[in-house]
Amino acid sequence: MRRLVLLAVGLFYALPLLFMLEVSLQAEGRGLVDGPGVLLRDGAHFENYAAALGAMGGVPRLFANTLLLTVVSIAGQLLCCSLAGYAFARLEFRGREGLFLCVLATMLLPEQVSAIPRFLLFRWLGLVDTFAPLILPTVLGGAPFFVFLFRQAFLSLPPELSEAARIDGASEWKIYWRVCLPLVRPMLATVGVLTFLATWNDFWAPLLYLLSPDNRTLTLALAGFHQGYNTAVEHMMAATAVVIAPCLLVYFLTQRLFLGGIRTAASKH
Amino acid sequence: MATLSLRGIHKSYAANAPVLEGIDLDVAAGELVVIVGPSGCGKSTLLRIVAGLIQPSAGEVWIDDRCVTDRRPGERDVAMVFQNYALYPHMTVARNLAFPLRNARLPRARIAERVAAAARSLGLEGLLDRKPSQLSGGQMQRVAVGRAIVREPKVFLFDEPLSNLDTKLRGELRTELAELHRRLAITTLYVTHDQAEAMTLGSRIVVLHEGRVQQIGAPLDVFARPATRFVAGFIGSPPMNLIEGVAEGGVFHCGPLALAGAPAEGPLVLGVRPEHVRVVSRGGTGFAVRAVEAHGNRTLVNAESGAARLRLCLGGEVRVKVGERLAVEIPQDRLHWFGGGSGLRLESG
Repeated sequence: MRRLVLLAVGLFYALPLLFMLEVSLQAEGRGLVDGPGVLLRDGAHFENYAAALGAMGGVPRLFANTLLLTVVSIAGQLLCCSLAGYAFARLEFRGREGLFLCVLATMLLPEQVSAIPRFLLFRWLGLVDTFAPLILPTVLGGAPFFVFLFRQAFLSLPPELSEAARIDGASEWKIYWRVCLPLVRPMLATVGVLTFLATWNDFWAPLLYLLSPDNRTLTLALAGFHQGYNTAVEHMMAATAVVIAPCLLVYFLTQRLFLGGIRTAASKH
Repeated sequence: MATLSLRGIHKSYAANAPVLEGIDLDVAAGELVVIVGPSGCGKSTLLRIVAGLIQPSAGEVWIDDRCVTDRRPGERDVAMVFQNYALYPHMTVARNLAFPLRNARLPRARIAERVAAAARSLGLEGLLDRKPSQLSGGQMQRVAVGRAIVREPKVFLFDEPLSNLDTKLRGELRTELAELHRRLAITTLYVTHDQAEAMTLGSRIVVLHEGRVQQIGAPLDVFARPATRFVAGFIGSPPMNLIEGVAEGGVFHCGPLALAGAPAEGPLVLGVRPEHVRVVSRGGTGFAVRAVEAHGNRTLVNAESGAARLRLCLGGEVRVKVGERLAVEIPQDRLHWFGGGSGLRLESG
């Protein structure tokens, strides 16, 4: 019974994905008209995928841009947020709790509130239409939720490990890098996957800052399919399936570590 | 070999709530001193102050002729073995052992040599490629000791290193640690709440209670002549009987109990070890048996007479029944007297 319920819930969440795949294989102009039965009768139109990728234009460049942004963001996020989380969890300094509360309080601000001042700032710095406005906020630790997750993960480690390393002559950096960080690998995976998904699928920030075609990302290219009265839904779905495939792959590959990280965050404090 | 001196160590986290008060201790080069006391007495805090993990509120720590109070832990040349081993879980045994040496930037060949030597001396050769999760409790503790000795430090610090092990293994490792200390002769401070460890390992023991030193001395001296009522009750298993009463005209009274030879007048505490109480006759009048614990090698008996309660340690073959009455005798030279208010030892005339 429990499995049946789980299967039903899983199917419910998988429905949009299945719908996307079904529409992406329909004949042009029939995507939202014919049901899945037509696929069985007339066969799938895999040529939609070639047409969709052709319509996006410069797919390798789009993938490269998105990949670059994603990789740099993940690296920056992992380093900065884990460092901040480590400091809040393991270092003693005056005002630590108050500062941590301030960091958490920034989670209350929706991104849209700071969008205009941030845009003006980057325009003043001459960084609009570069990747900097998309990378810098993440590299500079602009994700309080991840700082919180890392803090929880570091708090779950026995303090004796750091003390032993300190007596063994390790510097604070070495304790962080060689002793504590390897022990929060599940959290690294969790934050890495979440950052991957957020950056890979981000539409808002690239739309604001990336103006020239050479700098476009996959999500901006996907938006190009939407053309008012003449949207090729089948091609758009095919392109979407291609764009989100890496997300599914990353999630399935890191699923165990990812869930381990979530459990760590929930298990202490 | 190095000497270790603690001078006027004081630690408090809040006003009027000192954790440690005026601790003075000199450990001779190569000596093993055991700090023993109940939970919360400040013994681990004292060890951490020596290690440099906690800064004292006042006082100094000296290693040889060097004041290390303001030195960082890694600069003190001390090694510590923790209660929960504190092995790095993601590193193999070999990497755990090599970690302090790599931090000291020793050449690779020298590191390999010293790791191999430490592993050999502790019987860890076959475990070098294993992770801590693949080791038993005893093996983990050996690795923790190995990580300490591989550095060849000036001072060893042990923080209840055997308390997570079962009784049998604890006994075995206790013997191994004693042997290791004899072989290496490194100045050692050993914290425990286990009396057996304290009595068998240390050349001297320091009894700590509520952040204050109660007594420092050789284990058998502390056992034979406890300096305070607390030490008398803490050292020894089963603990010493402590009977509160009043002395008048040189006679100590507690309920129907009357003993001549009290060293002072007024409220006193009489101490007598359970194994020093002799049963002179059974039946008739005397102490009524309230509980009997037969341990096989000995029989512990709780008995009372009015307000006087007494625990006796009799031979394992003795059979005593609850409700039975025992007439007892306590040799004068086995009596310990403590001030009723101060709790300090009083010498009988």
